[in-house]
Amino acid sequence: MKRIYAREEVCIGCRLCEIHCQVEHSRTRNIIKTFKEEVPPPPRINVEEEGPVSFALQCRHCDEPYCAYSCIAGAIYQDEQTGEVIQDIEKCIGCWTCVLTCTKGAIRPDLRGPRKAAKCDLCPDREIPACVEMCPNDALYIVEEEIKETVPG
Amino acid sequence: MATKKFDYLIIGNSAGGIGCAEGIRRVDTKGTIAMVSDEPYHTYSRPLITHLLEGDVDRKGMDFRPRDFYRRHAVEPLLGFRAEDLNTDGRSVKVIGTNGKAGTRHNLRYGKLLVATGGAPFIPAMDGLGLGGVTPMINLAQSLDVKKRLARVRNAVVLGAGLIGTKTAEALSQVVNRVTMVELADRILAPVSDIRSSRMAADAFRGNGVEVILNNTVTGIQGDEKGQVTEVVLRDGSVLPCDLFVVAIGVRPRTDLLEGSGVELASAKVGGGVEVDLNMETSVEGIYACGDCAHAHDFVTGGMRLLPLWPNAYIGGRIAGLNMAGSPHHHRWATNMNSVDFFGFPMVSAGFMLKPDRKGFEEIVRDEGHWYAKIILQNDVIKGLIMAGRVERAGIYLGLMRGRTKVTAFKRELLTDAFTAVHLPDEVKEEIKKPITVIE
Repeated sequence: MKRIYAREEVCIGCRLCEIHCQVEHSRTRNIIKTFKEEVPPPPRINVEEEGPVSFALQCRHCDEPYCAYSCIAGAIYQDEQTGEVIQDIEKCIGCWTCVLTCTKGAIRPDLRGPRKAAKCDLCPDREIPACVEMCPNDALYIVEEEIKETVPG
Repeated sequence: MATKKFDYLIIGNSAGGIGCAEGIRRVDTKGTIAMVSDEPYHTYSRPLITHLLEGDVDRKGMDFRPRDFYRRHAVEPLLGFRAEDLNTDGRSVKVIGTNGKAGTRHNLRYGKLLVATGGAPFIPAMDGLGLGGVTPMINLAQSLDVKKRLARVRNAVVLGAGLIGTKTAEALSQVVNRVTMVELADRILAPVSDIRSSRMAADAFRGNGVEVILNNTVTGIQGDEKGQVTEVVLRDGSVLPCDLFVVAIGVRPRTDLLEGSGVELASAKVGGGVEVDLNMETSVEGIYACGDCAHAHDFVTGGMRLLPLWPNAYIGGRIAGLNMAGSPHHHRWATNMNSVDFFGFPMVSAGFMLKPDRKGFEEIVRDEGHWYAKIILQNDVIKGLIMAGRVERAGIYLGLMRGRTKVTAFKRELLTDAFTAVHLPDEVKEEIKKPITVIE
């Protein structure tokens, strides 16, 4: 499965990954319109920063996802083939249980319309996720990892 | 009476039962599984019954798993059957058809058994409980019944302001003229809040037209000649007009199947419930239990206790399933942990809600008026968390709590805007970048 990792030593904390994540998940997908005409969606990646140290963090697509196991609506599940942790946005009721159980702090409330949780979806419409492609310093990279042998469930 | 034999028998079709089936199938794709439920429905998300009532979730949205779940997991669903008679020596359970299947009986023999029977509503003895329009609110049938009645409901009264009572009152306030919530304690949501966050939640209710009556309870129910509820009488003598009365003062572990079976139950003093070990196995070998009917390990207190919460039920079931299929694992991911949203007011809490009056405990508070956060520390380890009005990144604190991470070095930053994962000790910081494994 695909996982995105950060190179802390080259991250400069510019937060362009957050910006491009917001654009990718906006209505217009246009950087100007996203911030000038729309209520921008929350970024699904956080730049963790203090002083000179920074790195970006988003959903780790955990092998044993606490968020999915906690979801009271059955809205978060692990894809059998890819191992990705997927959110069925239609089923999400915005109870924030996943916000509480994601120990990475990588799921946040999206308060723009009907309340929904927002998490990294690895940009299903793009070959390379926006945060990775737009990072000016190659501080984010994507790797294909083998998933654990699983059966339905 | 037909006898059938299954390698795995699961009593319960909710979070715990589904978790168990999924856990078993991670290890064993061949063994036969049967799943029994006295409810006739495809597995549904129980906490969403109030959303169904309100109408923001439809019947299909209630499905906890896709409709092909049982087929894909090769589970034989016996829905609409009540488990009656457990014989631990003969390893068998008798089940009796309910509703449409009344009279049908099966004798089910099992290799391993999971008891995930959930909870039963606690209803205080009172005249008038049999009147139309008086109901608990813990299952889909009750939600569907109340939904059918809604068109004629003008005044609803909800007794109890715990999680079920508050979510019911919130839902009703969207569809009923007048809603009153009556709570015996001096604040709503007492088990999952502190005084400040409880008051904020109560303000959200009052601001949305729900009347909140504290320090009071319902002592009488009156009905008309058609047997329908018309008013309730409060302890202080006042009378509320009422054509829907929801009793939501608590849920008790549903363990009647195990009475006299030899499976050890906890004493009534601690609320009852099936005693289990970290593998979720009961005192009888081969019999497991999880969810609202059972105890679980609390990672904050370190003890075993009732934790009737959805995530605990699912993970407990999943771990039971793995163990039943021969893959040893422990359940160490449960604590008193709640997350809820009322009228757009979000609130999460975990562990201790109030600072214990003992040496070594302290609290850190940030109050911004419209949002509020509190952390309780014991010797610089997080033991309690409340975030009300804003819940972003709550999970980072829960992770520190579970990891028993010493926060000494960044205690002052904890609730500031400047707090980030960079503050964490190196090993925790490296850990946070990696995927987690809940199953240990």
